[in-house]
Amino acid sequence: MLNHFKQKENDVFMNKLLYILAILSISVILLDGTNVIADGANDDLTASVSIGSSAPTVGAISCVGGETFTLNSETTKLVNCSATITDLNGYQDINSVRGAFYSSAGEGDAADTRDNYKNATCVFTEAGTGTTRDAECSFTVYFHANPTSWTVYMNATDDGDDTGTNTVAATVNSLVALNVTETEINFGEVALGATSSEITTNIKNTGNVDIDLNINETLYNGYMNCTDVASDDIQTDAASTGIRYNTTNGFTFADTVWNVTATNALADVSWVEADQNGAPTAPTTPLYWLIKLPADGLTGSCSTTIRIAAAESS
Amino acid sequence: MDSFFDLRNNDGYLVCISSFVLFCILMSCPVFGGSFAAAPGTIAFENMLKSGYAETEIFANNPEDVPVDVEIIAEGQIAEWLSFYPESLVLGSHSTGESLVIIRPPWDAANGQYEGTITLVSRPRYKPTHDVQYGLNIETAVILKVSAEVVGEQIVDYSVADMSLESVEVGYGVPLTFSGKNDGNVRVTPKIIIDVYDSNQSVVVLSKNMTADSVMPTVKKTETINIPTESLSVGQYWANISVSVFDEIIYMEMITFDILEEGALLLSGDFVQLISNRPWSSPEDIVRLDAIFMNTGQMSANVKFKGEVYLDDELIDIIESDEMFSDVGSIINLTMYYVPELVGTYRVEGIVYYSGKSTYTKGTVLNVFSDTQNNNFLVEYKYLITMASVLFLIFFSMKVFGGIFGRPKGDMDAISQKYQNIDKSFDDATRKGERLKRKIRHMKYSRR
Repeated sequence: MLNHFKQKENDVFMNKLLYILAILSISVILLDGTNVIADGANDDLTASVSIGSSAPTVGAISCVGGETFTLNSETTKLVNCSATITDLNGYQDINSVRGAFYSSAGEGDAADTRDNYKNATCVFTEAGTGTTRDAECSFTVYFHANPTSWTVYMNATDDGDDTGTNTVAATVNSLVALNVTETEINFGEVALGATSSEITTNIKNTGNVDIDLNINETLYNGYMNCTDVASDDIQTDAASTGIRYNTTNGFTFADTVWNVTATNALADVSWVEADQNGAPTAPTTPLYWLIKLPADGLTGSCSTTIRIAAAESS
Repeated sequence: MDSFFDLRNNDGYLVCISSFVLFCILMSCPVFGGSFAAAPGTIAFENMLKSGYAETEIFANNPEDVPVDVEIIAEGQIAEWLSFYPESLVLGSHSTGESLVIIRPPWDAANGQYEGTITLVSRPRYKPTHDVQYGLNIETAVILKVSAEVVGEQIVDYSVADMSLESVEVGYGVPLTFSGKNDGNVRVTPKIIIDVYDSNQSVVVLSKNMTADSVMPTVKKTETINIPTESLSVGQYWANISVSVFDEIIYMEMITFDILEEGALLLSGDFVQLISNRPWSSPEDIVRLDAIFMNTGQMSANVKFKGEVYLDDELIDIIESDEMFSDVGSIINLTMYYVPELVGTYRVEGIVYYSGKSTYTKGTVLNVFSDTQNNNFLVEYKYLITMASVLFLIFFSMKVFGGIFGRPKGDMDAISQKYQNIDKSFDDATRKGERLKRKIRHMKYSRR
């Protein structure tokens, strides 16, 4: 009897085992048919791969004429720089390029015509191939930009708004420049032994450095030549006569030591450069002139050449 | 008065017109002041040797409306060391000119620092003169400050850039062009070794040692030398070029060039770009590719694009366009279509062939990704649904049929105990039956 019960127990167990195996088989068929599992050589295992946007890179930057720039007096200079942009998603993914030109102040600082130019005009210069495309940026630089080390910066953006940047070191030369608004000084009619009326010349600093002036007579070795053969010549730096100048309006002849010689050194007065943050205006400083004639010995008309030379202030 | 305005009076009429014209001319005369600029403000020559050499450029800028003559004057300790090329300048209105400044310290200069100046004087070419009794004529000038350092140590520093070869027709030498900069303080004479290989880069067909021009300190120079390839036949070649200075190799590059058939340079073309209309697409999308070709030669040509398709740097397909006719100066699109089947980054690159010649290789990139927006709910979540169904079946079966793993141990123990009790009862009943049999036999024996 016991064996009969045991046999029955075994039969029930086997039936349950068969049901479970059937369910497992159905499950395998379902999973295999929908490619959840790949158990054979002909099964495809489909995987989802996300193609990420690769950020563009900016290659080495080079500028027309090299990376040392000499500016133009009292106006602007166009600086052109270019680079090759690379994007592993293809050149067609490269969307735009922008540029900046700045000195030690840094690219993120506010625009300033002395040390930070942001309004670069950037264009693609060729059609592109593979993963690369060439671009060029132009900067309009004012005459008073700081003479120091600068950085050319280029930034590329692709269609996925990813960006890449690069920089190159550059140099702006010191530009020593002046504009003497008058080309001649006419003292008019002056009586012998008398002092002329004050004559004004205006001198502008049109460069990017402070300048010192060197004012000398250069034609007759320290004399004004008088046309009458019988006349004496006028010594420009005599003790109590000659030609003198000053930066102060209404100065008296005897009170100033700045006389015109043939061998003057640089005058100890600096003409400062323009310092505006926007479009600059060259600063103007007047210079006042007097001539005092000897009491006698002069006839006819007398003239010479004065050279006003500028040098970078030490 | 009436006669003056009478047009029949020609003299008055002419005076009036002439005066008006003269007035216009005078009013349109350029106005000029004394404006002038020069750069750089300071010049430093460093690490110079006795009898050495260095050069630099100075710039003069004329902002005036009239041309000017610029005189260049050296002064100071080093005045005798300096020379200028050109020695003077003529600048047009609103223009900039430059002069090369060369400095040569003498052989007996002591080591140390030296100072000097370069003065540039600007004199307008056209300037009105006025008769005055006492007057000064003003001219403007700029003074550049110069310093020079004389040392005893030799410095060798030469670099090469921008090296290139041109393809030529058979029977001609191949021009090699390169730029070099001498940043040291001694003269250098670059030695160039050229090994020309066949198109497979396996056999050396030509070797040549050449000497370039000497380069003075501070000088940047571009030079072209001819490689004697007149004996080479038509085909593609590779040149391994190395540049050495004082027996040290400072530059090496492998560059390809072609020896072309005679007259082949008349046939010329430029593969402008390979462009796709869908740089980002999904599998099974049809992508159009256009190879843009420009005929830059003097002959028309039949053109065709042939390319290769790479997926993850593995060649998976080839692609080519139909052959088309390209007239002189024309730009044509060679159109092809491609259907990417798999997700990934494809690289398509190839060459345009035109009447037997070929261009440089150009290509583009196709980014192919799975487009999840087009899938319905069942396809998107088929894996999840399938696994959930399987698990449901398993647990359902266990619940309904009372599977082995779900039965509590306590029930199994009870059933087992029950079977053991039944088994024990059968054993007891068997023993009792045997005892009863023995009693019956004993009772039978007792009655005999």
